[in-house]
Amino acid sequence: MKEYNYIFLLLIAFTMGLINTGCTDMDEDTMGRMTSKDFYADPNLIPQAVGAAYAELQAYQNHWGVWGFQTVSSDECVVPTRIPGNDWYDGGVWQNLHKHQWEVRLGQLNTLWVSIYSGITTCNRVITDLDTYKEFIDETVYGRYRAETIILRSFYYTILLDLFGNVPYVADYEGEITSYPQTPRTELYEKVLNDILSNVEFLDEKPDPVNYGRCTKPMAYAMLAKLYLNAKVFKGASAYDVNDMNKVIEYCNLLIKHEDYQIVSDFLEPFKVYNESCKENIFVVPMQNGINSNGDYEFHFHKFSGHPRFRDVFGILVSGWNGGCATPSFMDIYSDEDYRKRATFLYGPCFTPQGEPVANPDLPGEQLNLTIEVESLEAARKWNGARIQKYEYESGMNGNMNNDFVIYRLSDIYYMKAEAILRGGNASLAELCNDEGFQLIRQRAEQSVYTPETLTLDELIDERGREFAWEGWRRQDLIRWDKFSKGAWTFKTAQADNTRDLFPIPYDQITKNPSWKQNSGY
Amino acid sequence: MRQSYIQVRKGKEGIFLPRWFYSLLACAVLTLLCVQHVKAQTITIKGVVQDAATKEAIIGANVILKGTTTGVATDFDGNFELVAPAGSTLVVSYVGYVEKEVTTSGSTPLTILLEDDTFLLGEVVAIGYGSQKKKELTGSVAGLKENDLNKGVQTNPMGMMQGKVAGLNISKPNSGDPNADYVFQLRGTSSLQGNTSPLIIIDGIPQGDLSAIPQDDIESIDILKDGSAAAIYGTRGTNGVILVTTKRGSAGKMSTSYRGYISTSSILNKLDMLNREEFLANGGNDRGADTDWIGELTRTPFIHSHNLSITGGTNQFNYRASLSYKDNPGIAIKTGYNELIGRFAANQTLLDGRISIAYDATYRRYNRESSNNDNSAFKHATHYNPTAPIYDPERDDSGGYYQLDVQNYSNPVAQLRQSDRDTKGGTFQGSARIGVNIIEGLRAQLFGSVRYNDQAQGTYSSREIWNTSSYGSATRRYNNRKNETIEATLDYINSFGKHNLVILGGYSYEHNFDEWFQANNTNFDSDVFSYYNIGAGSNLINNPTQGMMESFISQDNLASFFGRVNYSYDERYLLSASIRHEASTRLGANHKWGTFPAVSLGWRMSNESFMKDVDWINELKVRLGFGVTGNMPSDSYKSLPMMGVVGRYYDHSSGKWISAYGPTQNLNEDIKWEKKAEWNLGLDWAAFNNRLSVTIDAYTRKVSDLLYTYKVPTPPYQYPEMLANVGDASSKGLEFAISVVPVRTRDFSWNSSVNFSFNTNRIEKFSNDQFQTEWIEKGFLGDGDLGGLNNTPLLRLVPGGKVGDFYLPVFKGFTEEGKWIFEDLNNDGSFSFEDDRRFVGNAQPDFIAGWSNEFSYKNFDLSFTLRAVVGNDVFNVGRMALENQSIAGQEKNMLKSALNSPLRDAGFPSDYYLEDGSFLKMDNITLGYNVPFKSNNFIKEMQVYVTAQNLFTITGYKGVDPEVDMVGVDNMGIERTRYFPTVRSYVLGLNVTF
Repeated sequence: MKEYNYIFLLLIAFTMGLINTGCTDMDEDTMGRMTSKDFYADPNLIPQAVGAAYAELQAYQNHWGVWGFQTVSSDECVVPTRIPGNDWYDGGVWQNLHKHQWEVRLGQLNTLWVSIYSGITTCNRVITDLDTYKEFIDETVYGRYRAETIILRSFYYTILLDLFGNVPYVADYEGEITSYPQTPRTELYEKVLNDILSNVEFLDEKPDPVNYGRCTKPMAYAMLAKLYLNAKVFKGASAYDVNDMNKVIEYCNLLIKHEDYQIVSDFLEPFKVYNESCKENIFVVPMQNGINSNGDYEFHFHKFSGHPRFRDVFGILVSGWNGGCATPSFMDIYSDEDYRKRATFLYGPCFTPQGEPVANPDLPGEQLNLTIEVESLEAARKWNGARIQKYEYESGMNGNMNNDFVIYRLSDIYYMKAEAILRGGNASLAELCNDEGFQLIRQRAEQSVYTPETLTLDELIDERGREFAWEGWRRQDLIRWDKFSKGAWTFKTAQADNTRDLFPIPYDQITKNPSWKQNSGY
Repeated sequence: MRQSYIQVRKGKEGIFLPRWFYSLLACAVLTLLCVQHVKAQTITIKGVVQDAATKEAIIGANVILKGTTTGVATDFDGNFELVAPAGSTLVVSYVGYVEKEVTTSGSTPLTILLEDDTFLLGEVVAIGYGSQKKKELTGSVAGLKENDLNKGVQTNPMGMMQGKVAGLNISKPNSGDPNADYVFQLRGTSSLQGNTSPLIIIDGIPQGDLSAIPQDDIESIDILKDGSAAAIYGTRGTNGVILVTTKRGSAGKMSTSYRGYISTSSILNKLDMLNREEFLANGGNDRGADTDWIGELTRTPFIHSHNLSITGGTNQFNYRASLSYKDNPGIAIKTGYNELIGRFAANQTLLDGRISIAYDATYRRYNRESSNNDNSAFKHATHYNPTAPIYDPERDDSGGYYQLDVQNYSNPVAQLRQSDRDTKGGTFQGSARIGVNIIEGLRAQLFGSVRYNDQAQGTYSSREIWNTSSYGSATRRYNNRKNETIEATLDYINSFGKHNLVILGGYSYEHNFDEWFQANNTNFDSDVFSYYNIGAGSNLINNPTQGMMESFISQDNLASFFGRVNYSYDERYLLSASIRHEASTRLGANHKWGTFPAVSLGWRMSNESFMKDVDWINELKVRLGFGVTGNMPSDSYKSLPMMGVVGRYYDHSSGKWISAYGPTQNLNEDIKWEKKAEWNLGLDWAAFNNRLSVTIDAYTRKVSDLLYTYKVPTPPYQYPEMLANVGDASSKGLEFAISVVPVRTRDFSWNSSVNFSFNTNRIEKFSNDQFQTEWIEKGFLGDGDLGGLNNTPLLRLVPGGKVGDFYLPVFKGFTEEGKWIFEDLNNDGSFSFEDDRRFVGNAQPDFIAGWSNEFSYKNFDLSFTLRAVVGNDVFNVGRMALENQSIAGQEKNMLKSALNSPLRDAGFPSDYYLEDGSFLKMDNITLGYNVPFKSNNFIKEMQVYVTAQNLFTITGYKGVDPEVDMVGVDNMGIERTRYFPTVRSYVLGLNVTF
């Protein structure tokens, strides 16, 4: 049986060989996945990590994002539940937001908090990484990227300052946000101001294609003007401080005099599909259809506000979701002659671009007639409410919008300056009223220009509404006029106190740190 | 209808097999021709065959000379006479009795007594890396033989086990869809997001593809249920192990057998919607037609299946080859599949039996047809305006289909007709085993197996779809998966005195590989291009940033050492102990290796001397086992920190969008298997000449280190989610399996078996210092047509609760205007969904039961299987969407019951829609006739049968079918508005052996 023994030995040898080669190595072969080790081994990729901090800004404009909370809670927008069906009920979120009855436990509020802080922590992570890999990076590039990231972080903090007020100021990447102490709103305001002032010098002076959509000196000036203008609110002061108003005027003047910016003659030009070259825009969030798998990071006013037959009205290839529309009372602040009323909103009988009537799918045989009136917050009809058309809807669009979302524009700078003067700032109102750019804002709206007599604070709040409708500033503006909590509009009654001027610290966050105090009234 | 059927077939490819497959087949046939027979000196043997208990003669029992096909059948008095070589062995068998081998001892007439097989004491069951006699088992193992399995049309052999095994819960949501999968689970849920299905091993091939095994080729299925039995499979043993043994050849004359059936089916249950007249009488818009939408989507399918097998050979070489074809069109137009499966298995011995070689190969080729919208089409067919016509030739924006401009509402016929999904693929699965008998009792074995799956899918949605935004969308997807396994084992068997010992040791190494590639394009100028010419779409040109191409590769390795000792003393005291030491690349660096021990004991009291006089008890055994098993993370690479594209930012200077990078996964070197420790106490009892047998098992299991993806803070973490082993859960249960033979006479017999299983589980915790979550919400409503409620969770898991707990508002009544009134549970004066919910029911059944019966009368036999699921709740989303006059109305149809409902408010999730999902189903009833042939050379046996599947369902549930997913943690106990009709099937079958 010798042959047999050989076979046996062979079998054993084969088996042992197998065990030796296979069993000890249990490390993964990552097959096309990039581990953190791979990434940081290549310093050339670091600018692309900075890009991640900007990517979070794309969520700003979403109806579940900063814009949605700023806008739906104000008097300019309502998202009624529509019948038949339960469209846009969404657990009562939209109704409550409009009625100022939001809850501490509201999940979307937490999502909003997390999203803004994720912008901040991304900035902090990038700053930490830049410091870690400093030796590999060119010194000026390092200084510039670092300053730019801090300015961007400041922008995120201005949002928190406005929405939640008393939130932790975190500038490192070490601990959980909720492990930091709460920073009082006043203190947070000072810190943000300080961050901007000490880093603005590293930024680009002039807008150019490389810094488009990124933090530049003009962007920082606009942010500073906004901060000083709202300083009374942010600091919890009882009156507007002349020094703050003078600062507003100082930074507004830097932008008004800036050779690269001007008021354009067409009110709608800043909102065109290709608005990259519009000289009125100072800071935008570039948006592009199809670059994000998460729909919340895509720009879709045509879906949020659009009626399903926007397809026919605008010749686009996607159906609207029939959500938000103008609050009926908001439409009353426009005179019918104001170009901005019909340019901003679509209402009345609808026609195709070729002039054919568009049929109302819910009323067989009838033309679609979008009423300004909204029958009820809980049971609106599908054709109720004026719809946004301020941003151009590109004919043939078959996804989301490519228009870049405007945050700061020169017209706002002019009106901030006017407001600062009216609130005691040191400049001539008459001189401003004679400024060609300032006048053009009214002229392109087919309205008479302002004189020092007609331009009062009461007029200005309405004018800001008309000019900046659905641009995400209305809540902040109403708060400065003390008309947010205490104001009344369609489906919203006036409240006795100002507690709704701040959103509550989300339940999921405040429960993690017992030392944090909830904003008053919640 | 007929025309639509033909249309379906059009453009479909035939089945092409690779050339090597034919070569393999040809080789197999050639090998068979070389086999020769040997003959020797002969004598005449006489004898009688009787029932061991009743001493009645057994008529027609087969008496065969072992190793040959020479044999006779007993006559009316049980007598036989046979010419055979002196000293040869006879194999005596008869249906319903244990096969017996008798050695001839000269000329004395033999009296051969056959034992009833109700409790197959001598039966051998697979236990993983070996087998054991049933009487020696100490763990909880259930065995099914071919005859125990369900007949009829099964899309996957899993259906053959439905209702047959205590503790194995098999259900098939959307059961009428031939392309739908079974969901199955053994002894309840033991994972929150890991794998919950048992490990399937086919002839030793781990993770074998069960759908590649024709149902006629299955010989037996054994299920390792408890921890002590499954621990030999280590990190994959937690959910139990299903061991499938396929038919192989045996020595004997070549025999050919054909098994085939034809079948058709009809819809079992339709929702009772308003018809045209009723719809119009209730304010519906008249669109001028009278359309039966469900009828337009369905057809009368013709299903046929054929299996041809040959087997034969000698002790040195024997073989079995089979070829199967099945065409299984669904009841819905554009659904179904066909498949061709070839199998070959051979056993060989060399060197006087000291070396044995066994090898097999299976290849399955399939074509599957479906649409993108199967289930959605039936949803729309249910609520679409019954007065709407199907076509509207005037329209140029909808491909000629009638369409109504209502949200979440679409012409169902257009949905099916305007989209295609064609899938074709192949599975190769094969193994080879070489065994060497080193010395008496000591054997070394080397086993290698491979499984390759390839699949190609093409999907296209027409450019003419109404309200499209893609103008033709094509997707192609290619997927390859493989598993390669190599195992070396050494086993030793010895008996000395009353001691019996079996020792096993082994090593196994497994490599898994998965890759896919996918591309999508939209905006086609013509439907002619379809997915066949994906480059014809213009989206790749116009929107190159949209990431239309994806590819993916994942792989993992598993290495293990294992050992087992089985010891018995005097067939009275039994012991089994096993251990597995295993490592996987999927686990974190700190826990690559794990150890899984098990031990179990048995005491066969019936063999004790004090039981000797208790004649009526044939078997009494108690078993106690303990075992530790694991459950692996379901994905690879979960422990490594990863960076990925987290968004894109714009560079206006180049006009390009640039990928922004950020963390996409946190480092967690502590990721390990989920650990389960299980105790099992069992009792096997057989009595009254084995005409009654009972198996009872009670178990309690504790699962720790449950994996869950936690939300974590950033910073300190890089990414806001992290997979971690945190939770604990426990479950316990009781299983009964009872078999009785109430009647056994010469002409008539009745076998009946029933099983019950009870399982209850409890989530102990899922938070620790580092990872917390107060609860986990599951079962999101989702269906799109319930406006604004899509993200509403119906299920909530909490520590102390059970998997499948419904957490909902409590319905109190309606206001006079028909508005909802819900309980204000927190007494704050108003109702809110967020704060006013409580636990109102559970999706898991109190118990499941199966009852199988076989009757035989002369040449007829009748069998049926009833299956019951009792005490589970089902959330009826369909009723929420359809039993509502305020949602329905002008265009949307509603249930007739809506007319009697006081509800005039939008549908809202609450316990109002939670129903008792208990049901009793007659899964299968089969009447067979064994055609009596006088002994001839052509046909050995022939059976014709008719089967009705899913004949009836008794339930109080108001939806389409209460058989919903009862095992998936994410989606348990919810019947969606998207569905595929449940069907009743009729089968006519023929089995012939030549």
